[in-house]
Amino acid sequence: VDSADAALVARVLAADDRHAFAAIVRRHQAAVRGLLRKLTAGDHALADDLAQEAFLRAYRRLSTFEGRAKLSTWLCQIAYRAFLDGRSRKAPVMDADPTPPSEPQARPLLRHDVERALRCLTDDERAAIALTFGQDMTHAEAAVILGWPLGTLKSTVARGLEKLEPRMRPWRDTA
Amino acid sequence: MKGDPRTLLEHAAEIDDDGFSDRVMRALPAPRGATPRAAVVVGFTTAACALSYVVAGKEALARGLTGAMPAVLLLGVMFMLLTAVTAIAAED
Repeated sequence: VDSADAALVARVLAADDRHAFAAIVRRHQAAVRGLLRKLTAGDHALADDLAQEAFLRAYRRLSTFEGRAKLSTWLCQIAYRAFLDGRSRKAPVMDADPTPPSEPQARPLLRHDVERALRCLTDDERAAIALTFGQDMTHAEAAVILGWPLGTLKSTVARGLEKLEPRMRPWRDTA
Repeated sequence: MKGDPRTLLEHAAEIDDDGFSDRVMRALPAPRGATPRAAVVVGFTTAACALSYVVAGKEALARGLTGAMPAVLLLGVMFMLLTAVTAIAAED
């Protein structure tokens, strides 16, 4: 566990230090929201609602954080469960978008196109890709979160990347 | 490897806070200890009134409450001021 994260967790647990928890949220919001934006295939409002729910769950369960994994991994695990719970309540629309990718211009557009491209994947492929890229997480950690064997995760990621490649072609040589 | 989906996925992960952290902090439950302390004060006051009613009777309790009212009001004002100062300090 990162020493700064460990110190913040200790402050929250010892004295319910809200400033310390705010620092935890600021440090990890990008990872958690980024994961959920990919899982929801670009539904930012739903992703942020789920991210808020994930951080509230994390606050309530912080005493169960054992420090064996990185705090970001633990938070992403909670976020993934919040996503699964949300999906069981209301299935989000995940149909492939027929509109062609936009011209590559800037990072917000890249994010938009990535999220749109993710809609062509199955739920499992999207979850595997979302956890493996942009989350500072190893394949082994992602496999634990998903509850899959490592080999299954790797083959699912490979299949997902194969599907994404043609959809991300307009961005080739611009990243 | 430029333009590779792996690289693009990593680049797309950067997200600004844009007030998200504040939103989460506002949604947190009330700080631990605040609600139990208020409950203890109200509980003890109610119990003391009930005990006075049983021991001294209704009229004595009414006289006692009337006599104590200025002090209670003063304490109430002090409590509110202290709460406001503490809240402002915590906000900073």
